[in-house]
Amino acid sequence: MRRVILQAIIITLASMAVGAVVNAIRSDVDAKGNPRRLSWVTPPPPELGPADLVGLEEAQQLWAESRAVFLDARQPEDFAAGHIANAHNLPVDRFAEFYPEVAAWLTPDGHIIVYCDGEQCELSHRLMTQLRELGYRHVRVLHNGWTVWRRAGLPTATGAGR
Amino acid sequence: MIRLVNFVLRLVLGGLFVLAAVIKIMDPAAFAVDIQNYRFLPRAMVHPVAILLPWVELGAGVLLVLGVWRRAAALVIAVLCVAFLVAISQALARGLDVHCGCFGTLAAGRIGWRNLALDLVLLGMAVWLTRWQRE
Repeated sequence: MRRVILQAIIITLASMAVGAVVNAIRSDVDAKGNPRRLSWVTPPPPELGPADLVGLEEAQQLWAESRAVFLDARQPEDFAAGHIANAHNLPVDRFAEFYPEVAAWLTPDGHIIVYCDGEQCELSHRLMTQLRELGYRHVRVLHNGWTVWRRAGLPTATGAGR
Repeated sequence: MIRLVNFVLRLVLGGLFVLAAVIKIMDPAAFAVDIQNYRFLPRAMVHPVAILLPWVELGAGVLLVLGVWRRAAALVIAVLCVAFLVAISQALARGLDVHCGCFGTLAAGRIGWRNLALDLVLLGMAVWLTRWQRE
């Protein structure tokens, strides 16, 4: 058995060495034209500036005056279990599938507020990035949106997306 | 009889790992995102793991299919399966909404008990091949 363990260690290290060499010399690109070679350093999380965030108070006001479209970046199951009233579901992981229907509610210059749930949730940040790339200028994140909205006792709804 | 069983197990298990590895090697950036979504590893380790792990899967998978150092190759796969087991379990326990990342986009959708079950089956096969296989 000792010999087997030694061989297993050799297999692991040798494979890693091959991987490191291939990563260093590969120059192929993916469908989007990004190089497939990865940096050894994991990039830091996207920093959100003040212009990327909307406070609960302002969000609530925009909501009350129907001046913003609220988008829930979570999965349909989570959305159905509870969401901000009048919000639309646009799961960032299934963007292409849900976007065409949601797009009818969006205008390039209108306020769009995206949210997910949890301090660590990056879904809304990713959704914001994707929408901005499509030309929507006023997209902002309501940080930890579902939790802060619910805790404030503001209107919520359940059921699948509309 | 047992030789035939071992032969089939080797091809299936090794083949699956080669397939999973090739998909990840073709798109390391997507694999890095999947790893990150598990929120399991420290951020600094995400890219190194995305670069190296698929090659360990590939190396062990190829050797298992070829029957070279077959017990050792099965052992490597068993260890990988245990690591995946821990990662998947903690994601399920925390209710994380993540893709498995196991077979890239071939197995889309949210992670669930099926992934855990499949991993357990693969672990069983790998342990069997480590223990009950002749060189």
